Formats: sequence, C-alpha cells, structure tokens
Amino acid sequence: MKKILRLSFANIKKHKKESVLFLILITLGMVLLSAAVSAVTGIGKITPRMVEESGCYKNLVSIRQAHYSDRYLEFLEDNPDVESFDHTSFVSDMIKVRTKDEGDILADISFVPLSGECRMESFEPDPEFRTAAHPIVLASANRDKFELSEGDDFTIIWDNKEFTFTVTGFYETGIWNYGTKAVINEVDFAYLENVMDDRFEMIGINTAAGADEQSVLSGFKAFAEEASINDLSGSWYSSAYEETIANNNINMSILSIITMIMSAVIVIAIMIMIRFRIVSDIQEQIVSIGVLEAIGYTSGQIAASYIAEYVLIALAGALIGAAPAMIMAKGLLKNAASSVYYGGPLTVPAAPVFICTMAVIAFVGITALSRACTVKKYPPVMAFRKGIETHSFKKNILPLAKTKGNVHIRLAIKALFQNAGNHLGLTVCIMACTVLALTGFILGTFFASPERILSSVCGHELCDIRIEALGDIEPEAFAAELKGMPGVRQVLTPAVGIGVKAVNGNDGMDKDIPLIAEVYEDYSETSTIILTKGRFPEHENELCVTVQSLKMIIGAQMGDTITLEYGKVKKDYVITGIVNSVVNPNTVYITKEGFKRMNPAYTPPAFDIYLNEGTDSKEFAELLRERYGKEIADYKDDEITGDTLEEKIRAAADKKMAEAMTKQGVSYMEYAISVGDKIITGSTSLMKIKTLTFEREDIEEVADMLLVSFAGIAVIMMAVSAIVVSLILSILMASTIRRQYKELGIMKGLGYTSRELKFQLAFRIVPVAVLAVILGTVLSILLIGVVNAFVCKVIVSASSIALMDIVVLIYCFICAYISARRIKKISVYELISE
Amino acid sequence: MNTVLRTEKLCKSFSNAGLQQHVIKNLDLEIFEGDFTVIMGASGSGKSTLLYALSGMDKPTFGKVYFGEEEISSYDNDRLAVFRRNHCGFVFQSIYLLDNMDVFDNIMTGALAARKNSPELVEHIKTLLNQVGISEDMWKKYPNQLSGGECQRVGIVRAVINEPKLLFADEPTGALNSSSGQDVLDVFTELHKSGQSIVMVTHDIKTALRGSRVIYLRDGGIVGEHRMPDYGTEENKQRRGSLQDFLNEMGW
Repeated sequence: MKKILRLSFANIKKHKKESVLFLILITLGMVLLSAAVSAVTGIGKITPRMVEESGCYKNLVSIRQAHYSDRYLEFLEDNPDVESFDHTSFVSDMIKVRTKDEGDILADISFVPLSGECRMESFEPDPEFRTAAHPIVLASANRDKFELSEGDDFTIIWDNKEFTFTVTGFYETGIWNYGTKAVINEVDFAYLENVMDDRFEMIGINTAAGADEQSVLSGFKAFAEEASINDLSGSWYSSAYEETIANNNINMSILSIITMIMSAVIVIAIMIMIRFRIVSDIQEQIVSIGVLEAIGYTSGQIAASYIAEYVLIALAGALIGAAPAMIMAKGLLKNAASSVYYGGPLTVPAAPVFICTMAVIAFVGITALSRACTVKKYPPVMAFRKGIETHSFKKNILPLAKTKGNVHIRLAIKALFQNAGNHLGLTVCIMACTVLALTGFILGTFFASPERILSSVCGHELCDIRIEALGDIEPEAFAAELKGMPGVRQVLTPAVGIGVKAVNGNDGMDKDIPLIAEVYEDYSETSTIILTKGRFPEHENELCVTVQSLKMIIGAQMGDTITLEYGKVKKDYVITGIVNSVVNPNTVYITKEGFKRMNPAYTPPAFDIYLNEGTDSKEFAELLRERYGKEIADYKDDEITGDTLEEKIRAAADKKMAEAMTKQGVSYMEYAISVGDKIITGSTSLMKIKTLTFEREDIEEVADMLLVSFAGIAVIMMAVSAIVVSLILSILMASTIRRQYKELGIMKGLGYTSRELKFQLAFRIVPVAVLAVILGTVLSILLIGVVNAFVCKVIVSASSIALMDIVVLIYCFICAYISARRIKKISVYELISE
Repeated sequence: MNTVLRTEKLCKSFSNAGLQQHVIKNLDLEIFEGDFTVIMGASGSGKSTLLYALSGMDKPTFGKVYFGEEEISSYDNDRLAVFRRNHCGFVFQSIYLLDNMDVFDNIMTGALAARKNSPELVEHIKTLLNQVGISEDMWKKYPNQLSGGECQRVGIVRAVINEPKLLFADEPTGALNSSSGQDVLDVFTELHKSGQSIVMVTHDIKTALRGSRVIYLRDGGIVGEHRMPDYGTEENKQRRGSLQDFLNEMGW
C-alpha cells in the first residue's frame, strides 16, 4: 500500500497544477451535489415542521363568506373520520403597505382576528397586544420584507384609505395562508371585514388516523353544496395535507433541482476528464511503467496508484468541500423555507452530505479503475516500445502535401483526427455545459423584461387602468366616452374572473372542473394574452384554454369540444387555441357572444383603458374621478363631514347610496331631502366607478421580483457552465501539452512560434466545440419545448441563440488558448538536452 | 568571405541548485558564408550550448549574436522562432522526427512553417528525398518504420527544405551506425559543395574531416582554429593529417 501511495503522491506532485484543477472540479461537483441532495431532504421536513410548531390544522378549506354557512359544519361534527376541526373568518386582499421611506409595496395580506387564530393555531400574543390601540402581529416573514420591528407603525392602504396598526410582534405561521397572515384584534377585524370585499371562512380539519383526507374533503364539499343548494365550485378552496406537502416540496425544491442538474453536468465532466487524463498519463509515462514493471511492480499496483491518485484528490475535495456543502445546503434550505415563509430553525441533514461525498469518491474511484486497468495491456517490453499504439500504422489523415490555406488550421485538424477518441469526451462535456448555459441564457433573456414575464406568465390582458363600472351605464357609449378622453389609445370591454365549470371532457366522463373565464369581444385587440398554438376564438362556439386547463380536462386537445356550465346553463365549445399562462393557469377565453350563450343578460362589467406612451396613469385616474366621481368605496367609507348642513346631508346621502349600490346591487338612486323650506336633491349619476385598478403597474411590481429570481438562476447556470468549461479545457490542455511535449518542442525548433502552436492547440477544440454547441443547442431547444408544453411559451429568438452559441464557441477557444500558454515554457534547448 | 553570423563576448551560464555554471565565456566568433564549420571539444566544453546560442534556439546570458547586421540575441522567443524558420535548418543527434507523421508530412511540417504550399514545393521535396536516397516507397512510412540512417536523412531534407542560410547540426551521426553515419555525412558534404553554410558540432574525427574549418573549444572559450585544406585528389590523406596535427596541438 505504501508503494502505491508513494507512486500516487509522486504523480500528484509532478502534475501539481492539473491536480489542483481536478481538486477544484471535484470539490465543486461534490459541494453542489451534496448541498442539493441535503437541501431536498431537508425541504421534505419543512411543511410537517410548520404544522408541528404552529399547531395548525392539516387539511384546510376556505369558503367565500357569501357562500358559507355554519350548517356545513354538521358534516364534520359527527364524522368518525374527523378527529378535530375549527374555523375562523378572515379577510384577504392585495393591499399596499407603506414602507419606512414613504413608498408603497404591494402585498397579499390575510387579516385574522385574535380569537380565530388562537383556535386555528397554538397562537399566543404578547402582552402588548392587549394594551395597544390597533395591535397587529405579523407573520415573521414580513419582518424583513417590510423592515419592521416591534413597536413600529404598519400602515396599509386599501381603496385609497389608510389604516395604521402598531406592530406588537411576529410569529411563525402554520400552513394556512402562511407568510401572509396578520393577527389583529376583534374590533379592528370587524372594521376591516366591513370594508374589504374578499371575506372568507377558513375551516381547519384534522382527520382520524387511517382516514382518507381527500374523501373527507370531497364529502364535505358535497354536503355543503347539498345544504346550500348551490354550486360552490367558484368559492370553495380546499387542500389536503398530503397535497400541501407535495405542492410545497415542488415549489421549494426548484433551486435545489437546478443545483442538482448543474452538479450532474460537473460529475459527467469529472468522469470524462479522469478517463482522458489517465489515458494521457499512461501514454506519457509508458516507458516509466515498463521500468516499474521491470523492477518488480505488478501492473495491478501501478493501476492502483492511478486510482489512488484520484481517490486522494477526491478525499481532499471531500475535506475542503464538506463545510461549504453544509453552508450551501443551509442557504438552499433557507431559500426554500422563505418561499413558504417559514422562518423557524432549519437543520441541515448531514447524512446526505456524507453519503453524496462518499458516492462521488466511489464514482471517482470506479471511473479511474475503468481506465487504469489498461496498464495491464503493457508488459515491460511492450511498454519500453511505447506500447502497441506507435507500431500500429494508421492512415495518414489530411496529408500536408494537400494543404490549401492556413497550415496551422490544417495541423490542428490533423491532430484532432489523430486523437478523435479523446475528444469524444470533450464533446459531451462542452455539450452538457452548453445545454446548461443556453437554457439559463434563454430563460434569463426571455424573462429579462417585465413585459415578457407579464405576457408569458399572466395569460391575462394588462391594461393601464381597469374600471369596474356601476349603475345603469350603457357600455358602448361609456367605452366611446372613455376613448374620447385625452391620452387614451384604446378601450376594451372585458369580463374577467368569471367562475365557470367544465362538466365533461373528451373521455366522456362526468367532471366538475372549476375554471375561470375571461371574456373579450375581439381578441385581436388584446396584447398580453399570448397564443402558443392555434388561434383565438372568433365565433360564439369557440374558446381558448391554457395548457393547465387542458391538462385538467383530461384527454381534451385542440379541436375537441368541451362543455362549460355557468349558472346551471351548459354549452359546448370547440377549443381553437392554447394560451400562455402560469399565474392564471385554469382559465378559458371566450368571446362576448360566446359567453352570452350561457348568460344572455351579460353586459361587460369592466373597461380596460390603454394609455398613450407618456400619459401618467395616476394623473389620468384623477381625471376619471373628476368626470365620473370617486370610487364607490370612497363614498361608503367617507366620514360625514362638511362645512354646512347641506354638505353634511349630501355626504350622508352619498354614503347611503354607495352602500345600497355595493351591498344590495342597486343600479340607480335619487334622493330629495327637505330641510326646512329647502329641498336637497341628488342621484347616483356621479357614482359610476366601483373600483379603479392600475393593472399593469400592480403586476409589474410582481414581475420585477420574478425578474430578479430568473436573472439570478440564469446567471448561476451560466457561471457554473463557464467555470466547468474553463476547468476541463485547462486540464485537457495541460495533459495534451504534457503528452506532446516532445512534438511541440520539435515544432518550436522548426520555427513555429509559441503563438502559432497555442493557436493550433486551441483550434483543435473548435470543431469539437462546434459539434458540441450544435448538439447542446438542439437539446436546449428540446428542453425549452418541454417548458413550452407544460409551463408557458418561452419565445426563442434564433438570432440570440446563434449569438450565444458564438459566444460559447469564442469562450471555449479563448479558454483553450489561455490554457495552452504553458507552451511558452517549452524550451527547445531543454528538449534537446533531455 | 562574407560573415553570416558573429558573436561578441557571448556568455552562457546555468544556475544549478544556486550555483552558477559558466558554460560559454566571452566568446567572439565569426561564421562565414559557404563554410562548413565544425565545432569540436571535449565533453562539457560548451559545444552544443554554443551551437544553440548561435542558432537562436537558446538565448545568451550576456553578449550579442549578430545575423548579418541584425542582433538576434535581443529577439524575444517568437521572433527567434521566425528567425529560425526563415534562416536556419537543424539536424539533431536524436533526429526528432514527429512520430505521428509520415516522412512526407514531417518535411512538409518544416516547409510550411516558413512558406505556403505549392506544387513546386512538393516537387522540390521529392527531388531532395531522391537525392538523399529516400525512395518513393518510403515516403508514406512513419519514422518507426525506418532505420536510424533513413530517419536522419529525412531530418536533413527537413532541415534544408527552406533553403536556410545556415544549417546547424548537433552530432548528426551520434546515434547512427558507421555505415549509416557515412551516408549521412556524404549528404552533408554534397550540401557543402553546393554552397550551403553548415555549422556542426561533433567529437568524431571522421565527421570533422568533412568540414572546411574546425574550431576547438575548451572551458567555454575558443582555444584553437584550423582551416582544412580544400578537397582535391589527395584530399583524404592531406586533410586527415592536418586535422590530426591540429587536434594533437589542442591536446585532443
């Protein structure tokens, strides 16, 4: 053993630089692989831990309060499959939060009353909560997000109204509405419940041991629908515990899986490079091998010395990489935990790091063994004769007598063909790196603009301002009026977010699939609803779907007919196209006439305003308010104030009318109030705006966050590829120069300059790189095709891919050229003196 | 006679384990056009070191080397390479053919370093190969399919293919048997007769006999110089005698 190790150490010492490069490559692969595996293992424990630490219910059902009744709970009360359950009200919406620098951040916040949260989770507020005027306890994820600490003001803006709370603490939430929750006192909750529209009832259920969660939840829904004599599909959201764990794990594991893919590329590179280098070493040291065999070393011992050399390097990599792997695993876990807003303690499992490290060492050993065994082919005499290779007379490929043009290119290609076998591995390495870099580049550049993110992930039309109108307005006239306003480019009259159901699919089975319908008169006028296949609906019996909708309606495909149901009316529609969407996945797109088949009384409730470039949406909104009055909520929530009695009466009347319009669906009201001899009159004619939203602006904030994430992942993928390519080319060049030391020295003696020889060596990899880049590009496009089929349409620009391919080729050439700089050190004199 | 190459106070030192070893010491030398200069001396006298310093294979530690009026000792490595391919040819003791190329490609590699391929070049190589006795059936052979003498003759063709001003040879027959050595030396003699300037290092009297001028080196300096009688009818006897006398004088 000592003999073997001595030979291995001698080899490592002799090729210090290459050994260091191998060490870096192996350490990098080991760190990425073990960190990713460790993180994925740890990720699986986060959701159960959230449940355990928060004491929250495992199975959750949230129902819009308008459709909720306590009668539904009867199903749970006497159910032997239900161990325990409880419920609370909460309100939830996208609201703006005032930051410390007086800016606004859009955030999804769910407000829960203290008593409700205490029932749903083991929540215990701080003593300050009881004493503060408007206390709030926020999910701990919000501490960093809004840079808050205990005692700070927390101001929310909703419908142009500001509500200020005092932060009394932070807490780790369970799995219901994690990260977005805020606990407030009963009085404040009652107030918010009154003013906010999205009110829900959350029911938490723990099933008895052995009970099927899914059947309990579906039974619960069936019972509720029967009790209410209503279809609750559009307002019933349930999640079984196992389903929550699976979904959370998928969401949390994305970065770790990308890391795993990167480590796989590195491991492939390690395998190929070890095989290449051992072959080079044996060829270079063949005479020494013969000498060693002649003096009594067995070929097994010599082969073992090669294996030991790489195992020793891998062991060193394990020692160096263990701590970074744990740190990186912690980082990945932290990132994963932050995606479910879990801020509790995280334990990095050490076992996967250890197992992966051992696996990489074993892999390195086995790879080395597979090549080192070739030593056995060379008994001493054959080794002295430099192996059989030099006595096998190959056909002269590309004879120099036929050289046309550059001799250096000819010599480079000639050498490439002479070592074609060795370059096969390099092709695989560069191809894998190209796939990684190109996929990162395509995703990175595609999602580099908020516009593209919006169009590819939304599947939703984004106007500048959306007006939800009230009262008995005449849609066409109102749209024409809006279009006539200064700064308006276009006005569309859509309906969005209408709950419909697909009731049967192509397989003939009855289904009950909740979908969201978007209704536009003419889809050719829309700009951010992007088709990936087919065409937009043009006739009343046509519709488009998202990829995800299509998947839900099992068996359906383009050209098939599906049946939609709205308000108990069922109609058939032909699928004419598929739309890109990630964030609004379960959507169908129907024309106005098409939707009228199910709802003949349909009139468009919304008006999408598109402004000319340079028109400020906030200023335009003020113009709208001047012309059509404030948003209805403003009247409803206004304090009854005024300088005169008449003003106070008018304010009170407006408030009453606003309440009637929003709560009772009144479309028009007039009033006449007699005060003494004076009659004060008014009407709802100036209450045309129910809500006014800045669609594009709001979504762009979300898109900006996505943009940072995509850019980060793309940069990491490209950086890892660049590092791996530079390392493998360095190793390759070092080995090649060492093996061809004599030839290169002779050529220098003949008058070839170092620069010309560097060019020749670097140019050898160009055909390999071209082939690898072509294959890598094809694979990347196939990979993007998978993303297109299952997630969203990523538009691939042929010119940018071609540009990236050229960059990869130039990068490979530059890396090879720089790595070949050691040629300069070859002195003809040294060669001759040897 | 025109001077092709000259040195001024040429020094070459090597550092070994912190110790300076001065191999060439303040050496002044002129190499003349058309001469067959033979450098002789005992082992370690600095013969090969001088040859490589003269040919631009190695840089002197101090002093200057001039090729014509150009001071080549100030060139960087790449300029020296260009100088070598344009003006010099080399024949080595270990021959140093490229194992992975056949005979023709070995010569082409040397030729294409300095010029572009052309049908004339290919014809020229064929003529030279025939001249040195390498028949057409050997042109497609690899070095390890040839004898040492054949390899060295291929090496000579490679060295002269670019019609160098100077042909340097370091013990060209050192690795050959006596019959092959004579064949190779005949090639050198023919080249010299055709006007080729040659600088050759040797410690073999038979080889030195082919030269027109013999320089004797000791401890890194020139201690003697001898001009050989011209070739004539009594050539061998007269030349051998004069060289013998000179070498005796030098303490050979």
